[in-house]
Amino acid sequence: MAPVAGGEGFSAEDRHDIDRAIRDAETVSRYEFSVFVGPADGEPHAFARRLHAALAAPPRSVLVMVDPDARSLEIVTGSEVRRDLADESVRLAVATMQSTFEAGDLAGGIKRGVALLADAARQPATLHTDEP
Amino acid sequence: MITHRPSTASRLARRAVQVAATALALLAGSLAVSPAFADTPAAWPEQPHVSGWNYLVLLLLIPLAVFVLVWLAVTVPDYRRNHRGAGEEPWGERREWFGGPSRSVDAADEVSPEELETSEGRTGGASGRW
Repeated sequence: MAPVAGGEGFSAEDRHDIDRAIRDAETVSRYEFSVFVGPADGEPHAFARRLHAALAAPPRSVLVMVDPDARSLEIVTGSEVRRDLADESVRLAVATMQSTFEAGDLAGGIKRGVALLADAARQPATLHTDEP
Repeated sequence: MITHRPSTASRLARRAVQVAATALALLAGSLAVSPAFADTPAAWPEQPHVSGWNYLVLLLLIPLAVFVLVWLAVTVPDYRRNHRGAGEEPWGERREWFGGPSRSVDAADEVSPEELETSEGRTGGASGRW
């Protein structure tokens, strides 16, 4: 199949939309989100884990790595994030992103996936915790 | 108190009389009404002749053209946005990291194997290909 994205990469509008999706996700979930798009150095999963470990707060971070040419997608969740964001929910987000990428919409798939991950990681509101 | 239910024959006869009376009244009413005939005043100017082709253009082709233009204006940008780049040149070596460290990918190269080993088994996630 043909690669998803063209030579110019993301448009300014795409970048703005992805940035906004990340900000919204962080607001919703209270976790850090990061999206890497580009070729992986070596094995994709190991590279994604290295990227995740390089983030400011890995335990509280979600890393999405997309290699458009290799057509590979990796999502790494930190140890704290994992308590709220189960791997099953991540797999659902991966499936959604795959189908959007297949339709040729790279930026749309990233936005949709980040939003799904944030929704799944959303911590339920705890009422009356401040009361004695 | 004793009531007598009318027989079936008398009920049918009564219903037939009702239907006949209603039909007669409608027929008489329709005959009494005559259509109104009105013509444009003689002082009005003669209306220009409009051909069938003009009618066709005005009532069918122009609305159809407007519909197609509006449909294209809505559909084409959306289609181009969703299919931008499909089938074009590959992504290449370009790297874009949203929300990543300021040192970008160099920061990943500085992650020690010990750090990775420590996080092994504690991180979660999923992989996929398309």
